[in-house]
Amino acid sequence: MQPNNVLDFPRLGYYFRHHLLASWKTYLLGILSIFGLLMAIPTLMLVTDNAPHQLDDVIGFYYFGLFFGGLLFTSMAFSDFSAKEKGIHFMMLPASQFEKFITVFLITTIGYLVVFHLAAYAALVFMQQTCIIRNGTPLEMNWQFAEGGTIYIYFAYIFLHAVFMLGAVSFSRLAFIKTLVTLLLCLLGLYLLNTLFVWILFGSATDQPFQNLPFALVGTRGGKFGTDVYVISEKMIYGYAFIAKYLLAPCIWTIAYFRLKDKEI
Amino acid sequence: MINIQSLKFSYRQNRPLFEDLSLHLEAGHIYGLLGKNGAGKSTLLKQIAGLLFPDGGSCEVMGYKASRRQPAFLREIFLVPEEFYLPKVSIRHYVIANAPFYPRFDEQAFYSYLKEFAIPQNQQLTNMSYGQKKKVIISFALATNTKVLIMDEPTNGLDIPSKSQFRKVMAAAVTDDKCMVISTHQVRDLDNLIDSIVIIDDHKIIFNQDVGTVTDKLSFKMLAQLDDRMPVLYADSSLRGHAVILKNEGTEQSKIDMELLFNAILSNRQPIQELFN
Repeated sequence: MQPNNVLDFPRLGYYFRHHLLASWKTYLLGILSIFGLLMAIPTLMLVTDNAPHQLDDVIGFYYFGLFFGGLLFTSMAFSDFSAKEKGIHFMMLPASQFEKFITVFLITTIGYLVVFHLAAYAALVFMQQTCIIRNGTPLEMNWQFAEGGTIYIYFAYIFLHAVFMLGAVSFSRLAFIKTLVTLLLCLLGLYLLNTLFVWILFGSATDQPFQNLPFALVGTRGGKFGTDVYVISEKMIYGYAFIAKYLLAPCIWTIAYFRLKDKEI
Repeated sequence: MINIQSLKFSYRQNRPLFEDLSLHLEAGHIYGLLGKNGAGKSTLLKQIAGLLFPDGGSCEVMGYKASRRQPAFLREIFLVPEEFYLPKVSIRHYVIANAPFYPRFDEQAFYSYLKEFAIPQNQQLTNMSYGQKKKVIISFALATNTKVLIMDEPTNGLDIPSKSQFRKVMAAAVTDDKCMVISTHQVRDLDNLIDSIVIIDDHKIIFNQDVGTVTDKLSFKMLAQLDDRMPVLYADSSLRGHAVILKNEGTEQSKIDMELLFNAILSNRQPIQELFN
């Protein structure tokens, strides 16, 4: 019988098992490292007598772990390509490129987020106990998960995940560093392009040429208060926000998938 | 079964590796792919496996475009590369993880091949020598029962007894619906195993004949002295005498000397090719 060449659930299950059997030791080590590092923070606070009073004091560690750990893990998702023989094994295994991609995608998104938040929660519980011992009061919970502006941090994470996933497929070695450098160069390029257009459109009237908000806001000298501000329309702002929140990451994931399909060894 | 038409491929611009390469391989044969270092044997195998994409022309295996790497194609082809990867697991776990992808995988045959190669079945793959690992991957490849089996330098790293064991298990595994392609530069390792010879040189296939046709048209002899009146196509002199290839004018069949044939075709291609055309 002709198999489904894109997605076959039993085969996806086999591939998941194959992937986990080959990588479980690495993943276990990673999970232990995340737990260890997140637990080390309250332990250090306990022994150095620096117990925090509110969650805001330590939330930076959470974000650092989320971004650095998550993106580093994602950039290693296709580390099989760093060695030719591993790459051949990966490519020749009879599963579709979509099944191979989706397995890695699920592990680096849902898998990592679940493990990281479990570790972060355990660290928080431990930290609460530390605060009670040291300060006599529990930690003030002045931060709410994904509320208000903090939701954009998660949108940023999703975007960066997509970028680092594309980097993992594109760069065989040192994917994290190479992706980071490429991303910074792309952002710098976009910023310079925007500055060039602002310069062409507003010329010397531009108020502090390198301090406008790229693609959204330009300030020029003049007007009642010494500055005229040009802002893109509200419709465009919503359009930009929609693209940034919901389209950019899926587009980059799709590009990463097609890069994987076109990979040669 | 394997149909390559006008294949063009190069790793670098202006330095073509294949130009207008065409090759047709049938089921029921063990093909020996021979060529000098850098002739493109491994690259050709990668094209067949879909690991590299043609710059021009086409490469189809069992009707599938190899470069698409569809599961229906991948489950019918197994590549044993020269440098291969085995995960840090036991043989049993390797089978559990990999065998379900191959619908005709024969576990019993796998363990019997391991037994033939004298590989302990409960050993971790990481604790094995290179030669032992190679035997495991060859055993697995044969047990998958894929219709196309390609091997790149399979005898590299095998000791002398293992090479004859390899020939034995390979010969037993070939059936009418399977096509095996073995690339090697150690032609003597494939003695009595391959039934067709494919030679790649100068960006294309320069020779593709089955052993029967070769021995019908050519005669391989060892002579004490060379005689100018004999239709010698190629001679290689050594202390033992002169190994020669002659035009076979009778019906007598001689044992093929692949190394001699390979050297003859590379150094004196035209008269030999004319015999087969």
